[in-house]
Amino acid sequence: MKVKIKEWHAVATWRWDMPEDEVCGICRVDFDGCCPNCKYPGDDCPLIVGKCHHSFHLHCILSWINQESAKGLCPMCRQKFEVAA
Amino acid sequence: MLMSAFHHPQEPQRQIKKRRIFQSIFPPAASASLPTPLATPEGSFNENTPLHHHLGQPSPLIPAQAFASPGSDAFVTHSRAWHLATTFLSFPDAPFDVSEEESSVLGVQKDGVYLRRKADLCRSETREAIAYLMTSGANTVPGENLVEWYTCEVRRHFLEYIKPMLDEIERKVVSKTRPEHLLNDIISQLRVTCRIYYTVYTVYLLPYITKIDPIASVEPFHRSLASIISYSLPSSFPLLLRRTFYAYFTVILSLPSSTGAATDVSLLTSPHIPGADETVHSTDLDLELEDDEKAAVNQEEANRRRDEARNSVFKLVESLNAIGLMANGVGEREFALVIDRVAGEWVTHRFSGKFTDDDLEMADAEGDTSMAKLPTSVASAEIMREWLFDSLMPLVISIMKIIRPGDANDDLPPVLTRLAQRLSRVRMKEMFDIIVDFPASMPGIMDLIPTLNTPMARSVLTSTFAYTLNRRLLHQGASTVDILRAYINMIKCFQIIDAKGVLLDKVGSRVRRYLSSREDTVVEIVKGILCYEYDEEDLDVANDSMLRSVDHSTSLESVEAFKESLRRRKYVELETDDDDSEEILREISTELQACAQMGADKKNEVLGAAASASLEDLDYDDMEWQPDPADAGPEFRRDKGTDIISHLFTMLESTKFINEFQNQLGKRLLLQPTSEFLREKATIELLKVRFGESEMQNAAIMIKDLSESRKTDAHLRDMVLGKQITQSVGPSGLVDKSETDVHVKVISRLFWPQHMISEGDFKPPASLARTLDMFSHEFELLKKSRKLNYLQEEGFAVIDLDLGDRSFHLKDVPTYAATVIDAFSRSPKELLPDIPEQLNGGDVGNAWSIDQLKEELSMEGDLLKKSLDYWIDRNIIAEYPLDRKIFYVMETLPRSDIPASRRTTPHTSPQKRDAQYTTPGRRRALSFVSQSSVDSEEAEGEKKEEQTPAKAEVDDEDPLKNPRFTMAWNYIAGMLTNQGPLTTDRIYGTLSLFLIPMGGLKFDAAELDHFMMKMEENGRVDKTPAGWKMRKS
Repeated sequence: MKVKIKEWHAVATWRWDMPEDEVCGICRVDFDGCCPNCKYPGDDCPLIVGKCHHSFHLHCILSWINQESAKGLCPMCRQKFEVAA
Repeated sequence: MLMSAFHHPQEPQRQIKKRRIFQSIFPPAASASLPTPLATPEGSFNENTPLHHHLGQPSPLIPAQAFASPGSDAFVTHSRAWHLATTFLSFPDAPFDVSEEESSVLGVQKDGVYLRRKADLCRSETREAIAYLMTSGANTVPGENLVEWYTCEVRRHFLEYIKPMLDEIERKVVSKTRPEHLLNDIISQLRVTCRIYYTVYTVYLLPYITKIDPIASVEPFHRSLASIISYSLPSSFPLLLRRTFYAYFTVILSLPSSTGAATDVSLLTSPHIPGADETVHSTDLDLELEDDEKAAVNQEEANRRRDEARNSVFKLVESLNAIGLMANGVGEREFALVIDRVAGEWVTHRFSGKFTDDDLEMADAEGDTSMAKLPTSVASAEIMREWLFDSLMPLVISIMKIIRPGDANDDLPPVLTRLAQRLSRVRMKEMFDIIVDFPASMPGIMDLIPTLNTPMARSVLTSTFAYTLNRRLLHQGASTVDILRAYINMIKCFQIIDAKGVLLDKVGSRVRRYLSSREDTVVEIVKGILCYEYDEEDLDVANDSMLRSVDHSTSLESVEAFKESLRRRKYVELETDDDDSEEILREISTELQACAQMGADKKNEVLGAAASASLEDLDYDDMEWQPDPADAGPEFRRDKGTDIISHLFTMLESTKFINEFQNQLGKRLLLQPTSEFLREKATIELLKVRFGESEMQNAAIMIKDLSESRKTDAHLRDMVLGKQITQSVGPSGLVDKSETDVHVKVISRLFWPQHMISEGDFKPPASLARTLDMFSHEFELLKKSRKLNYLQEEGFAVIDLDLGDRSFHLKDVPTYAATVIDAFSRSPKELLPDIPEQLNGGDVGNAWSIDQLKEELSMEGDLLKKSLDYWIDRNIIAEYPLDRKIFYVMETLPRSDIPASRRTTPHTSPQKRDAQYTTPGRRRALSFVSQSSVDSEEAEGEKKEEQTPAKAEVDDEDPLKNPRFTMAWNYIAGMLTNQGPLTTDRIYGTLSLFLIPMGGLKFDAAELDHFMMKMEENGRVDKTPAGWKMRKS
């Protein structure tokens, strides 16, 4: 018997390259999900990793940083939040 | 009855009154109305005869002195005259001889024997006496008393002699073979009798009265006679009359009749019908007809029969009319009843079962009249009208002319309404069939509508229909698709019948309840929604209507998407191939579109139930507001949503529906080449309107994943292909272009139905593994800090198979099945022993045992089984007989000429095998089975009973390899360590709480128990009376 696979339509899930069971520290939603203000995950709701190695949904951390009281600190470790290179 | 009063004009007024009252209650004895005794001297009118001699019953109330008054001369004259007249006018104490009278009545001689004799008896004195009594008299109205007396005399005679005879006829007739003679006998007797009564009245009394007041003088006599006749008619007379009329009318109107009808007609045209001249002839004819088959009656004979029946009916009516039984009498009543019945039967015969245009036209061709094609809604009304004008009304009108010559009004509308009511009754009974054939059965519905104007008629419809529904639809035998389809048609029909939806509410609630109790309702509905099929017509229509609705469309985007997808619709014909076998409710998706377009106009109505309920409940500005219809049920809500889709959706729990929708959508998306899926997008837009945007969010993400995958896939393919070329343009210098066209769909794992994610893993075909790895590598380059996880179980492949004697091109093979068949294209490292070259005449190709495959592909047992079954179903792979868990490729198909008894089949039932053992000369058909295995067969047979499905065997290995339990085990271990021993149920309960955010449990309690047992075997836990306990290492 000859088997010839003409086409192969694979299915894959994507995931952020993050530890398995971590969630966004601000919205507590899975990184692979999206922040409460977004409708679509992935490109529309990217992650951001700080120099302090804390990751958040981009939109979450932005709205946090924009608050007066946040003083530009990471909500997890209270260090200055700077985007990792 | 006023005789004595007449004789004593001087009697005090009070006493006269008294007598009147007394006599009106207790009629005077028959003797009181007798003529004055013959013994009374007849000499001259001057003779002074005491009054009490004249009377059979001298009244003690009358004092003798009264006669000595000055008027006594006149009184004597009067009583003489009275005597003469009454003697002459009185009837003999016997009924009239019908045959004697009738023969001459029919002949040239107009008067019967009796009348002639009477005329002979009439001497001049008598005439004078009558004339005296009629013209002069002490009474205020001359002649009234004699007329009065005559009326009483007629009555007496009739009751005393004729009525017993009629009763006698009735009694006699019971024994007769042809009871229809009864009618003739009765009618003849009455006819003769009445004739005599009338003639005597007309000839001797009437001339005097007419001078005074012609009309007023005849009427009372007629009325009195008619009432006495109808009083004394035999009890069976109305029934007889009805049957007779019915028999005639069925013939005249050419209705299909019961078998008895033909005989009835022949009997009724018998010689006894008065005036039936050609009776002998017709009887002969009818007897012939009786013998012949009805079908053999040709048109001419039928016409002649019709004419005969018509004549007979007219004669019957005439003779009935002559004896006063027709107008306002029993005759007219029965006539009306029969006409009604005949009309009803005609309607039933003409229309029942014929509710489509075709039926109506066909039926029309059968009928006598040919009719131009009419608009559907009026076809039946027109047929009825025509029949009324051509057949029924002429008959009725001519009969009515006989009955009431004066006022012949052909009031068609009431009759037509009556027919329409009959028709609607027929339609109500057929309602279910009408609904099943819905679009074609529109005329049937139109028949129904005009008569549904009373609550009564509506409740008859609903109860009749509910009964049929229970009997024919809402039971185990009907498939859900059928019920849904019927329900959809039902909604359409009842919306036409009753726009307010009360009727639908009544009959529909039953169906809704039943459907919501069925598990697969939601599945079928979703299937329907996701099934798209158009033909060119639909496309045009849809485009047109779309264009029209664009201006006021609320979601322009969806409209655009819809139009685009229509253009590309051919692309999405995945399911159409196997649609023939599977019934799909295409109507639903079509309806969804239609409703959406309607919704552009009437936005409020299309809004989902929940939304509109709160919106419209308090709409005080609605000037069109009307209360709910009177017959609406307590649960009736007008604003429930009026389109079919909302009827269907409100039947379901919306979460149930949305889950099912996501499941099916997911399957659908992954089993097709990546495309924009615009059609699905449009559907989701439409569903958003009904369920709200947030509910459909996951579905939207699913779609978006796919459309992004399209771009990603294109990019990745370019990259991978480029790399492959650069790599393979190596030493050989040839482009080793991969044979396989690889595509990948990247989906967001949290937003797809969880059972589609995280299923088993296995090694894809070796040739592809590298390419797939390259894909995932490229993906990581494309999307920074993201990774790909292949879902091996999802997706599909297009495969060409070349076998010894046949080849296949398979379009949508699941990836796992493709992987397995790919393994079969090569042989396992350790070849299986005792594999014959041929089996049942077919060549045997590569063979693998289950264990070998499992090892080779690292595939889970149940998935492997599923894959093998996929190929077994397609007759490409077969299982070796006797459960040896070896599968082989059937290079050529087994020869079909080998008798079934000698074939070796994999599915020999244990019983059958036992039977083989008990047979002394047991056949070793399985030539390839080695001796040792034959010996162990017995043991194997027993073992088979205990064998659990392949899955259980797979779990023999480390249970933690089962991905469904890997995460759960962490929790379990934690629980057992921290909380001490726990039972399986306890663990399960806690787990189900914990794991909800992770997509819920993927196993049930029994599986968990099984898993725990395995873990015990592996030495991780111990079973204690208190439950499971972590084993201390």
